[in-house]
Amino acid sequence: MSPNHPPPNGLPAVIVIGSVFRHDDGVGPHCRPLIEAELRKRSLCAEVIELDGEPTRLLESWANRPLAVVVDAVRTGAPPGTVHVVAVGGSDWLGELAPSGTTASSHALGITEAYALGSALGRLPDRLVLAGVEGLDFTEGVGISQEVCHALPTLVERVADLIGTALGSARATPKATGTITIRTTGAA
Amino acid sequence: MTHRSPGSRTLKVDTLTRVEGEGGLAIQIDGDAVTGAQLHIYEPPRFFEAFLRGRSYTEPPDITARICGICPVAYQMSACLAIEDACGVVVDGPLHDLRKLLYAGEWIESHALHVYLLHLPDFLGYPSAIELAQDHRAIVEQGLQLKKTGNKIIEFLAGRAIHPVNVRVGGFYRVPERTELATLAPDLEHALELALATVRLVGNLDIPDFGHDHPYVALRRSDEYAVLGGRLVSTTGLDVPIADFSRHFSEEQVEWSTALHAHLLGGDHYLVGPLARFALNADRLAPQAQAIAREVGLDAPCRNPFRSIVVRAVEIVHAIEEAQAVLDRYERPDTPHVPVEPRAAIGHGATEAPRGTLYHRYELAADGTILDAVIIPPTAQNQATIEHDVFAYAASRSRLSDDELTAQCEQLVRSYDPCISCAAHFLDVRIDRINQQGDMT
Repeated sequence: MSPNHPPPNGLPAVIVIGSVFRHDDGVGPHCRPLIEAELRKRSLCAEVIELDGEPTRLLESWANRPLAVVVDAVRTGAPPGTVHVVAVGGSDWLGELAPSGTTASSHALGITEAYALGSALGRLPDRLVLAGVEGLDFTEGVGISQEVCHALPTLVERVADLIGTALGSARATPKATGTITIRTTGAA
Repeated sequence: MTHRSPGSRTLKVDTLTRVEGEGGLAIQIDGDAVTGAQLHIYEPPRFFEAFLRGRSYTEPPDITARICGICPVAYQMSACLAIEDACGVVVDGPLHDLRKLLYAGEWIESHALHVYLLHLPDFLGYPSAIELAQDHRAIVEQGLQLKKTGNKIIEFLAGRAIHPVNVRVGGFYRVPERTELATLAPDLEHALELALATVRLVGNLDIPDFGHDHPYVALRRSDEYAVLGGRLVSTTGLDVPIADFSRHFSEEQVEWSTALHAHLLGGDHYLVGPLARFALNADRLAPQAQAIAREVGLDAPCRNPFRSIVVRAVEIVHAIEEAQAVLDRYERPDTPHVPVEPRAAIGHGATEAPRGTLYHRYELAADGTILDAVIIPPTAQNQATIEHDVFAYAASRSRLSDDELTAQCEQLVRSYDPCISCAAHFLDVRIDRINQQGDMT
């Protein structure tokens, strides 16, 4: 039984997206335990959420947060395994950097559209970052490619760095909270 | 070509591959005459059928929940009913009620998403919900609030909104206390107001004039607007048990799609989903749903697919009323699930997913190992009908510009809420025009 808990304001979120049944598309869920372990190792407090990419769930998950990091597979033409870390909607945001998970899940509009919808409705985090891994194989099946697998340590480190930086900033403000835990929501 | 008929089945799952996220519609026009229309879609459940073979009879609810992020409960419920049927178990009483409540959450969530974010922009002249939200924020907020209520029910009962985890064969892993369930009441009360307002909103839309006369197929029960089980009935007189599904429906593959096209045996295409349910079960709708349907002039049968947005809105009202009724009468069962012992048998189950009848069939070994699985989702059943409607609709509008015709055909396809990867808003329409010399223009 899940209690009704709104996203705790002030807590950053890592939102992993993808289907584990589509090889590299599942990099988000695949690296979730690695991200959780790294956050725990660094004593960083963040909520780790697994979603299917459906935009209204994204909006609900990232609204009112200081930072949301969306982890997903992408296809941009870069070499497989390339890690992209870009601020969504920022000057470095590339419109063509569409996460593949948005096209693998039914009814998903995509992170770009979710961002635009969130902007129109005032449901955005203070900062939204996409941590994407260039995928190689998006066909049906479980397991990620070797190229993507090799990128995981870099991806995890970059995500934890982002959370650490956000919490570091937060700790300098009166809103800082002290409990060091990882909240997890969504699929295991 | 793959063909499935009673007594024989050849399905090469390995060949059912696709390019991710591409749903397409191709229309051929020769002069002013439309000569063809094909819907290109991908059906993930085919992959899962093979995936299920060799697994335990207890696993389909969790495995099939992964087929769709929007309607996982439908897959779980059809799987449970089919396996329980194989094992000779009927789940009723409070556990059946909790399943109804969970399913109501999925209907509310899925229908609200489609009505407000996917379909409504078409009628109000916006390219997407983003532009709609910029001009009519309150309307979109209303839809999101409704959707959130559906999500909340699912999270409450099933642990989480996507890939729910609290469902098992025979019932649930844990069931709530009556006092816990009662905490949903304020949300449902507010949601009912929003749902009634939704019907009034969409009931006044300018709906394109179009009609069809395909057979409608849905489940029907004597005691309620059928969602969980019942008999398969149609507007053409079919009235059979779910176990007879394969005796009355067949599937075949077409070269332009990796999804199997379903037909009534004899060749007729048919339609499942809200229009079919409403046509065949309007008398079973909850009181306020019936009243609001009358208020906006929605009579059964409704033969205009564009008006399905109104039917969906009425079904949201119904789902909320059903959820409220469950809260009112709920008494916590002694056990969260009934025992389900495996046996060598074949079981059938069908439920009404938001998009229509979802059929599951499992063949079990004596120890509960799954020997064979068949999953027939609503979109596969509707595929041929969608193509026929696009053909007919385009035929009467072939003189429109490509852009206009494309937009109108996209809107028509969205009327069926097809569960294609991203199809509802990423539908790629290709129109091939052939001039009098026979050349492509």
